[in-house]
Amino acid sequence: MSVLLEVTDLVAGYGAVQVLRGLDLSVNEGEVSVILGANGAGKTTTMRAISGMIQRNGAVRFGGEDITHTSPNDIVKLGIAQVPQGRGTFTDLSVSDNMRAGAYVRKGGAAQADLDEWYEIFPRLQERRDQKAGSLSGGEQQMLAIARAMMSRPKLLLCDEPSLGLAPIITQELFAILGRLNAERGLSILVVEQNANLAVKIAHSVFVLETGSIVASGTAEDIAKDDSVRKAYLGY
Amino acid sequence: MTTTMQSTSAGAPKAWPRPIPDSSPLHWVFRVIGVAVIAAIAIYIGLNATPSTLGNVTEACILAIAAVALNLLLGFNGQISIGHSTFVGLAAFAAGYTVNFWHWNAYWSLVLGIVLCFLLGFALGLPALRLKGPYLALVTLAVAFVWPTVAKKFLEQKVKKNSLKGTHLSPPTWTGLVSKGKDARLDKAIFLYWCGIILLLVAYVVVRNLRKSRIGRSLVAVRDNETAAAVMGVNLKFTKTITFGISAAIAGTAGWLSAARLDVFNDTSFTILNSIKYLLALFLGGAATLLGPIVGAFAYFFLDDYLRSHAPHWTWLPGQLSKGPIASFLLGAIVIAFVFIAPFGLVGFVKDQARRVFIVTPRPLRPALTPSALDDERPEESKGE
Ligand SMILES: Nc1ncnc2c1ncn2[C@@H]1O[C@H](COP(=O)(O)OP(=O)(O)O)[C@@H](O)[C@H]1O
Ligand SMILES: [Mg+2]
Repeated sequence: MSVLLEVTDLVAGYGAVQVLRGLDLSVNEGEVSVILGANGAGKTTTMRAISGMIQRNGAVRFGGEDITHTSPNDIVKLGIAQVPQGRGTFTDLSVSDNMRAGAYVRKGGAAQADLDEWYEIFPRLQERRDQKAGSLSGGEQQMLAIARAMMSRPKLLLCDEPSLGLAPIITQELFAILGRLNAERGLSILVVEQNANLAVKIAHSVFVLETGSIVASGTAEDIAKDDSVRKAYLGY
Repeated sequence: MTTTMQSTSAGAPKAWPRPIPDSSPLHWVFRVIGVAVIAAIAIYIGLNATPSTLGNVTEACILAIAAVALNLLLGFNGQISIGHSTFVGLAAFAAGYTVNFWHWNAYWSLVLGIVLCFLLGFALGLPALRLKGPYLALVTLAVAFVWPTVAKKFLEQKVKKNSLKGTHLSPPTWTGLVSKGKDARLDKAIFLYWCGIILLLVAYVVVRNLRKSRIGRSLVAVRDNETAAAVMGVNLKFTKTITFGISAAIAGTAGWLSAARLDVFNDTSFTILNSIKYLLALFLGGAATLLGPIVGAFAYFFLDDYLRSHAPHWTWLPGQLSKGPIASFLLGAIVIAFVFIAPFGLVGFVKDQARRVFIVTPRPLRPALTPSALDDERPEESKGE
């Protein structure tokens, strides 16, 4: 398995506030990596640093290319899409316009065929395609956020706490879809979660993040065997 | 809604509100009728109105263009500006000065005004990258405050008078309108009226096409959720500054038209009060809708006009208020009351009412992506809901 995303010694923060202190992680091609971390551990900051939204130091390599100094715009073009925390719905745009906005960086924009492809996976979105996205339920908005991110045809999908504020049954459905995208399309995924039973089930590798650095990592099975990690993040 | 009116046979479409499939022939009929009615009214006014009515409509067009410009920035991109009077003033001064002192062709002065306003708007967009909401409002407020001082200095030092003459734009000969003789006043009014209508139409079309394009989606995306827009590759700096520039440039055309209409103007002609008028017109009509600023501007202008000539003198009011008609006060009260009743403005209000009668339903789904389905983008059969 070749490494798709490799982050080494990543240091990032906001102005004078340093949040990430030398973080290492990786996502293999066609695999799912999960970052577990408590509130405020720096998960969102990690996502932002990878997608180039904040100033960063260290090395971020994607598909063998150094993207540490690449602009967010070019990073999306290279094939990294992000589902931001809180879904980031464009509430006043219609569902279909939200999805078209996801293809912003693609030359020629979104083709109807792309929309249709994702409507097939998320039929609810098709039913509501002309409604304002703000009128969707939380779960539907999360599905929309995923479909929208996929419109840029990424190789790697970053998902920031997709289960936040969703009912358990919806969360299950959501992870089933992420699992399918990985299994059927070979999409590489990096998910961050706080409470992560479902996330670990679809994961190949797991990283545990505490106050800005990785304190444990391994395969999903290894991590599930680690007592302290299990207690803290898996809740059993 | 009115369930009693629903037809009893299950599965049959409801009588009211009637569904109209998007882009179906019936939908097109409605659209064409709407455009035809508006065009007919515009032509009727152009052919029959008196110079003073034409002047009023032209003035309303100026307000509408400024409101359309502000709508692009505030309605669609979410950036507030109380400084748009400055762009209008800048373009008016540029036109008045170049035409009267450098003997420029008035149409070149329009180009100059647009360019200057775009540049100033772009520059104002730079602080807007860091500031939002009330802070951005304050910066643009400061610009609106500074403008009269700058304009006054300009008048003193360059014009050496306390006012600047208008451009006295007269109709070109191919229009068949005359600029001399007894019909001159009417013909000039007709010409300026059509200038106003055409510039307003251009401003509308520019904003409409922009809104419906990929760029337009990114404008609204930035307004709705900056972070999400940025992770999708939208360049926030570029989007915000360019939007500011384009909005300012459109406002500039309103200023150019003012300079063509007014005999003289000075440093007090384009003040923050004008900016507030643009804002009120926009919210009265409905921000973030394409027609809102136009409807709002016309409603505002003619309501204002009506109140000025009909408002009562209420002598029981204290002090200054009792001295003149209380038109401005009533106007403000009416606008506030209306926005309270209909937060999405006149256009939102009308849409809500229309929705009780007709609902535009999405286009029927495309059956499958077979080559024949691709040939026909718009299947005609409507889906029974
Ligand atoms: N925009 C910001 N400016 C300054 N500090 C921030 C900002 N966003 C987050 N932080 C700080 O960075 C730390 C990590 O935050 P975050 O990455 O959002 O955590 P998580 O996503 O794991 O809950 C927190 O201490 C938080 O207060
Ligand atoms: Mg977070």
